[in-house]
Amino acid sequence: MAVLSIKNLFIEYQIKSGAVKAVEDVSFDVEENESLGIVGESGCGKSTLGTAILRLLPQNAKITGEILLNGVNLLELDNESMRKIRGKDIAMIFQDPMTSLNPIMRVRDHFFELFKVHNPDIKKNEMIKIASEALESVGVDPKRLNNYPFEFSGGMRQRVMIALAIALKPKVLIADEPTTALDVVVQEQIMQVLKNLMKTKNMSIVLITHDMGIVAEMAERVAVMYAGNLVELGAIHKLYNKPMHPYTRMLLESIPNIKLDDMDLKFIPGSPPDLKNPPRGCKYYPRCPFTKDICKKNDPKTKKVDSRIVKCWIYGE
Amino acid sequence: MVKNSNQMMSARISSFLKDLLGDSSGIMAALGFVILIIFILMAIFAPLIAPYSPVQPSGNPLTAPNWHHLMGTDNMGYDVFSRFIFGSRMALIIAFIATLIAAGVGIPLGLIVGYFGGPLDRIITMIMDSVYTFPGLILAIAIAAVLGPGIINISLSIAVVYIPTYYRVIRSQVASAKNELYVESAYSIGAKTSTIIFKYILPNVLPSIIVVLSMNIADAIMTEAGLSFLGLGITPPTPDWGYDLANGQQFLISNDWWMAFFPGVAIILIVLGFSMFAEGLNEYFNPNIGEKR
Repeated sequence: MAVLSIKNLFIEYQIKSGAVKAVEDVSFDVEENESLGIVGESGCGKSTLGTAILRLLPQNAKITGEILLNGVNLLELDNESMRKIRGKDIAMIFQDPMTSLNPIMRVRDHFFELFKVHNPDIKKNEMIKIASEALESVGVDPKRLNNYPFEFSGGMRQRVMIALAIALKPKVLIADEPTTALDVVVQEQIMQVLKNLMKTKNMSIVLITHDMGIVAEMAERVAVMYAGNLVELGAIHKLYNKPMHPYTRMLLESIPNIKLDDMDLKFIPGSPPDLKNPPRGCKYYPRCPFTKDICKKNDPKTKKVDSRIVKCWIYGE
Repeated sequence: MVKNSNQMMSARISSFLKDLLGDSSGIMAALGFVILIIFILMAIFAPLIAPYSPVQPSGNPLTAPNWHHLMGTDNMGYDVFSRFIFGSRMALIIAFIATLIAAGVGIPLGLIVGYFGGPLDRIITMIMDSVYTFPGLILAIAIAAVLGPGIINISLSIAVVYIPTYYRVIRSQVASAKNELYVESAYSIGAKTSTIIFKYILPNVLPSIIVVLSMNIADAIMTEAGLSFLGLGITPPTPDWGYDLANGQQFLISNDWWMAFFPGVAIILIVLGFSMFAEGLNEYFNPNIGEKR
């Protein structure tokens, strides 16, 4: 059974000049101990989706649909029960490790805060024990519990953030571009840490990123998002070898390849649509080389083709 | 463990003093600090230092300074030196109470409004801005005139003037701090809103308040002296510099300068002390200023 299951999720930001449709009719499942990558350009709704799962979106965001965690719809919970799920059942790590720890709190106190939220009677040595274990599992010396965040490098801080996120053994970890702010060597280390954790802690990871390489290394299945829509979802190797949606194909083609003599960097012309006034029909047609008449008129339905999900008119009605 | 933390503390204090004395502005802050300590000790040990009672005649009226009356006596025969000593009590008590009230109202208000924002923000900010528009002393006079004399009333009327200062500083800092990633990550581990406000946001915005605080005490002393000078402050014969200054200036014309001179010097010195100290702190907490010079 799926640990996390998202059904027909719509998210709109209400702003003065109208509504921005950040996520439209997105559905997917995350199985136990699976890692699912979500990729797409900036502004396509990846982070909104990830943040929505924890219900941490700003108040002007309107969410409809279902987010089921072990069969419980998170969108129907009251704030207090939702607060208790955060950090314990679902945890999140953020893009910028340099600012995601409180600069005036010791690392220790970040852990204590987390433990006390979920168990007010917890003893101090017990907290230190769990925190030390968590730090060890991400490769940080437990002695550093007494340090302040500024005494850590970026990579180490991200490890601390991960340790904080997994300390209470959540079932799902949402990693919102966990390596974007780090250099490549550290990226690789962090990815190894996440991989090990998945194996040892029986945890599912939702990896949000725009780095196709990281997804290839880490994820078992990939969801491709464009302009708030899930355009393709499938197993990583199938999707990389034979992309079905034109957007996926062009996204993969735009990865520079050092083996080819081709010096030109391929890219997708144009830019994602304004989500306040998205084009009628398929959101991608203005940039798509395979545009047909029907693309401009009607939005394609989500179809299942060869155990893959794809949203494009090419694959029939 | 305890010993260790003590050592750390003393090391911190010594490095603080070293930083402070590192350049000329540090010397200024240190000088201000010394002045303050002298006045505070004077206020605490006033009965031990003062040679006479400040509220009973101790000699002939209008005696010029001599060895029995270091600062002379006033028109009632009170010893000016004793009133000088005891006056520090009134000035400091009122300044501290007023600053406490102002900070005690302004900081939580700024914190809550800055965090929640929205229509509440617009209304409270409008009220605060309209209070801020009045010249400080004029507003304090108006409130003091309604409330009447007395330590608490005077403190209150001074406090009202300074609440907007705290409110504005805290509100703007909170408004930017609440969007920091560490606040969001605190939410993502399930922290309560109250925990986030008091444990994550407040400590991060508090340093900016320390300078405002010491500046405000200096300002409050001036306002208090001003109110007393105008007869709206402490009821005589309680020793108070502002009142003594007002009383003494009537006798300047007959060359009895000491009655007005010494309370005036006291006010100048204590305000100078606080301002120099505040400036020093400001440079310590805000390295950008130091670099600019």
